[in-house]
Amino acid sequence: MADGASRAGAEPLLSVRDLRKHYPITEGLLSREVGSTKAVDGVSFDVYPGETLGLVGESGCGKSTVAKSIVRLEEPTGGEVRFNGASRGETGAGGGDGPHPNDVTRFDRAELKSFRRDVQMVFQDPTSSFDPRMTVGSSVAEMLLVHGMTDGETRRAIVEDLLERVGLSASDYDRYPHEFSGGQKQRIALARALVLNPELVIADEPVSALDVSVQAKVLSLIDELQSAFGLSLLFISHDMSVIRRICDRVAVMYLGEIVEVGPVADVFADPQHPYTEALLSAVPRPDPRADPDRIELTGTVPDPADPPSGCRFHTRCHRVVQPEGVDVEQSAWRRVLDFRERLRDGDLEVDAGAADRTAASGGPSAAGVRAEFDLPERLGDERAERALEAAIERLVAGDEAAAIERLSEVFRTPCETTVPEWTDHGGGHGSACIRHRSAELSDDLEGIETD
Amino acid sequence: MTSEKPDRFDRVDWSAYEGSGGVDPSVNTVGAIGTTLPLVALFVYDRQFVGEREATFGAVGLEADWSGLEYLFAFTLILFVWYVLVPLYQNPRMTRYYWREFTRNRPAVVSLGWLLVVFVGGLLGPLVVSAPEQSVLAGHQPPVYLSIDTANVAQCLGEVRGGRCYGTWEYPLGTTRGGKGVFRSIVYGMRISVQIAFITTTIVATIGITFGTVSAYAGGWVDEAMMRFVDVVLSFPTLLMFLLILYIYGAGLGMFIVVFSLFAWGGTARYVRSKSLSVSEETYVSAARISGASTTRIVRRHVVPNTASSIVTQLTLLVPGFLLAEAQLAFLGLGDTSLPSWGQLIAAGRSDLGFAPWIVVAPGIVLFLTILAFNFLGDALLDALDPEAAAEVER
Amino acid sequence: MSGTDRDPEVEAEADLDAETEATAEGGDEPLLAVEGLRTTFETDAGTLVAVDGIDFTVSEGETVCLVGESGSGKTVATESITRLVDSPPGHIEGRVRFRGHDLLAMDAEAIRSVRGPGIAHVFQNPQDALNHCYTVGWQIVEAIRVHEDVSEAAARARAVELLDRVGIANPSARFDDYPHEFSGGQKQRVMIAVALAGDPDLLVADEPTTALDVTVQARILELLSELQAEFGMGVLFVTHDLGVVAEIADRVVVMYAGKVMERGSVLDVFERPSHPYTRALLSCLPGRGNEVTGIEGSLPDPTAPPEGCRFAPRCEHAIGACRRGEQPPETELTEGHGVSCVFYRDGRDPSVVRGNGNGNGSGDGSDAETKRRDASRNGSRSADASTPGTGGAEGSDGG
Repeated sequence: MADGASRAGAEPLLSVRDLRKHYPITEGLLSREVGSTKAVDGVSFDVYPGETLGLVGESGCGKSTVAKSIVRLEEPTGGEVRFNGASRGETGAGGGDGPHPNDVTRFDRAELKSFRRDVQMVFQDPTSSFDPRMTVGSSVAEMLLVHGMTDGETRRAIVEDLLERVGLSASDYDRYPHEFSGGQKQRIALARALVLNPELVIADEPVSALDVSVQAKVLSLIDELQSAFGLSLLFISHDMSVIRRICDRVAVMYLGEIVEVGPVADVFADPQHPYTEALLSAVPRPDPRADPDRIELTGTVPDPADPPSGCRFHTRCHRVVQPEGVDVEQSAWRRVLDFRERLRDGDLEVDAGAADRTAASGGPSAAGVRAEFDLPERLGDERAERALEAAIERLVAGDEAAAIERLSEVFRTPCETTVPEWTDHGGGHGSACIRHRSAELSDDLEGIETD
Repeated sequence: MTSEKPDRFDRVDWSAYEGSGGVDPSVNTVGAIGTTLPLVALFVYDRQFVGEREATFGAVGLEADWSGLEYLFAFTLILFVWYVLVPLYQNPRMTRYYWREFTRNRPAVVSLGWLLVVFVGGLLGPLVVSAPEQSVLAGHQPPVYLSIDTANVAQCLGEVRGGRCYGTWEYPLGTTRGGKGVFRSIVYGMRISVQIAFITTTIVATIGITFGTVSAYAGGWVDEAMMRFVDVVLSFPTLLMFLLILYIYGAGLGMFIVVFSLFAWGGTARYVRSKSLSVSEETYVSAARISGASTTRIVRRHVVPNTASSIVTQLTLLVPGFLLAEAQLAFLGLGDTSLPSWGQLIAAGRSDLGFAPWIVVAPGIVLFLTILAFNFLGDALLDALDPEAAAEVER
Repeated sequence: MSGTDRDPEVEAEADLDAETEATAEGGDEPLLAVEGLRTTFETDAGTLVAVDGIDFTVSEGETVCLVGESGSGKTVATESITRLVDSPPGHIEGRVRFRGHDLLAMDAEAIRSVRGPGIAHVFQNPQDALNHCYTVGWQIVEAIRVHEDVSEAAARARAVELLDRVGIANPSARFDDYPHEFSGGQKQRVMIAVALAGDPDLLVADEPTTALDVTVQARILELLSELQAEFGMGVLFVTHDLGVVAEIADRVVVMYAGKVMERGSVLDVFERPSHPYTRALLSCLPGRGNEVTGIEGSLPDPTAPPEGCRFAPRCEHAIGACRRGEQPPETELTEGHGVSCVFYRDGRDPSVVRGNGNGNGSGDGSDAETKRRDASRNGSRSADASTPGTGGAEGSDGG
């Protein structure tokens, strides 16, 4: 602890280590646990004093669950959340690497209560953020009351001052939530998050329910408040353009895991993970002349109860690695893998779609299958083409098992077998993609070739 | 610096507040307790120092003798004042808003007016109007402007013209067979109705809200057990139970109210539970939780108020059921015949329906209007008390 | 040509239409022509004017975007076209000609036959737009069979094909799934399939991507433009996000408080934004190399719209002439590019609102700032009026 205080600048305010949140899936009368939804599965990151860390990802990737687990609105299944609030620096007994003196997940009631003075949240939905039967002023003032400020006049003075600070007026204290617009409610939500003078504010998609014009105003307000009060911010969003606008660093999350972390400038200029690339390319560019060419993320987010093996993104990745000796055009490679995946899941319909398109032949044809799955007429690679052709032949003949087998011989990728390791790109920029580990990659490939 | 009042959020020295629990008893609680204490004192005085047969207020020259029911009624009135009327006064903006929403519904405003008449009549009527007295000679007098064949009256108090006896202003709504004024009986019946309405509502609301929120927040097997108990309560044959008690012990109004309300809260509890569950999913409850508020506080400040206002409608619609039940039992001759309720009045007049219909019709209309008013009111409250739904509409 | 006083616009439109390859049967008649559309609602607070006399056209195969903040009347305008607005309390005036027929003059029966095969809607919230009691397949079949007398089996085959077309993998297996088994993006695809069931000539898409993730939004937009090319539909797209507009629009109509502020091709609007409101909207967008500012103030009270230009109370350039009379008539700058602003009329200098050249238009001085603050004080109560953070610096010092 002592040496931590001496280099306070480098000490993270919040350290999340290997955070996990699994929801059990139960079945039957006796609620037998048959599995678990791994909403957050081993997430680690740091938030440094005064910085804004963005946490970005699609809906369902577990970013909100991370937020809720940090403030213990949800009890995390595992991992540590270390919070080095100044007020509790000395409560932890023993040496620096003792048993988590500041691990939020182990806080008792009293510790948790004082922790909550230091970490507050702003939520996504401005409408349900306020008790419809309380004036917004008393909603904000309630925070103070809960922490022991029984003097009503002081409470009111503080809240009125704060309301003015977030761009409302003191007289709004006595108004009810339904009298405000979404943007105004989000301002009040900011006031509520600030009123206990926290060190860290977690903002869970605070502007995604707002109009673009209102978004801009609320984001500037967040910026202003942050610099005025030296707040640290964990900013959760699905929108890369918002992240760029407000964050210093960004962590990209996919299916319960963080796939890339780095300073905003680096990540936006040179995204290292294909998923980050895809997210960036999805942002609409406000320029009608811009090239609309963008990376297409095929498929939907996989079920977190049964995440894909290896790299979790490999089922949708546009840069999925090809094994040694195979050289197919990347988009065709992706489609062949999708084809194989569909075959394996047993849910393909050569009968419906393809039959229509090749109505003349009366039954599914090889060309029909290719059309249905968007496969090219010929693959560039000889060996791959032979394998695909053979597989389609078997499929047309009705032997799905053989088709799968034939495909699996050639169309495999190290991405589905190897869990990518973290690669440091320097300057705090890191990502977890197998392509950055070429040395290990070739080892893996040999393993695949021979087994 | 330390003596300066912290009026900026970032200047608050929180260590000064360390350890204080944030208990701030509201004016309402203080007021309610403050006014309940004299009532309790009166009750003790009545029981300890005033004889069985003496009037409670004999010492100050009033004749009123209070039964246990009257104390309960007074207590529910205290709760009504401190937890309904005073909050409405304390939150003028919200009250104005509710009122604006409420007044969109014209029939409901008229209904509210009528119910106010019944309420005031029930509360103050007995102080102004003297109790209807038995007087055989004055039996079957017709209401004013109406007449009855002189053969049917023992003595005509009003004008007799062409063999018909006309009504007088002494008995504006005529009299019963026993010579009791129908108008006075109706006024006294108002008190009974108001008592039924207030006491049952209070009992049902208290048990229902407590049971519902505890069940929702306890969860697990406690929740399961409590909800199965609600099922039992709901499927209990209340009427048979009441008849049994009536048969064995005899039953007055108090017993009626207690038995019926003790078996009527099941639906309320269920509704409160499901509503509490959905309220506790709301973001503002999460916000309160991460503010460090205790579960008790969240339930008291957020869950109960937000469920309570939505059960107001349900409670409003429950009251007519009780009034009707009382009237029906009375009509079947299963009530306390000495009770001056509307039901008893109707029951008393049923044999004379042929020639003196006012004995049945007058209280019947009053009962009908009251029940109708409650239904209109419930409907309007449903719309008025939901600010979010209204905001949605405006958008 | 129709004999209304707003002809130039329609004419210009028709010319533009003739140039493109898709031409309506009438030759010079656009697919949809809205003239003087005015939709009001009777409320307790008085008459609420949601849409106040707007004109626009949509030609076949063209995407027209209605842009504006929430509450500017875009949704009501689109719903008024097919009379989805409940009346009472709503009341629609004006003319809406679709393939030459006035939709507002039609009886209920006739308008029903236009909804679906003529004009189909896709709504903002896919959660609410699908019926959770029925399978998605059933809902598409229903949509097909409402307007076409086809057998159950044929409708089913068509539905599967539509699901396939909108990019639902495994359509015949998903046919019997219920809406809750689909993700938000998939539901929106299903909604598009439902809309396509009647093979519409015009697709009205009301903020179809607002409730969706950015990644999903990109793919839905892509799907819509593919479908448009394939089916040759006109698309009327409503959104508040100019980023989306840049992606898909051919022409843009900028709406504010029920009035059209500016109209033009997408290039006109993005490269030569002429109305202060359009410029303010653009300034909200990140990634245009400018400081993102947002717009001060909030929309005027729709029951009591301000005199003169609707945007004047929030406009940094507003002068006396802006606050008098009616919304200024549209000035045509170039063909098809019109703007409703006094600076383009009566010999005033448009460069005042355009800033210097066509760079970023946030040329605000301190006088503009005070003017703006005055304006919002005059206007309705507004959160965004006062400037936060002025006391912020001293706050951090004082601690």
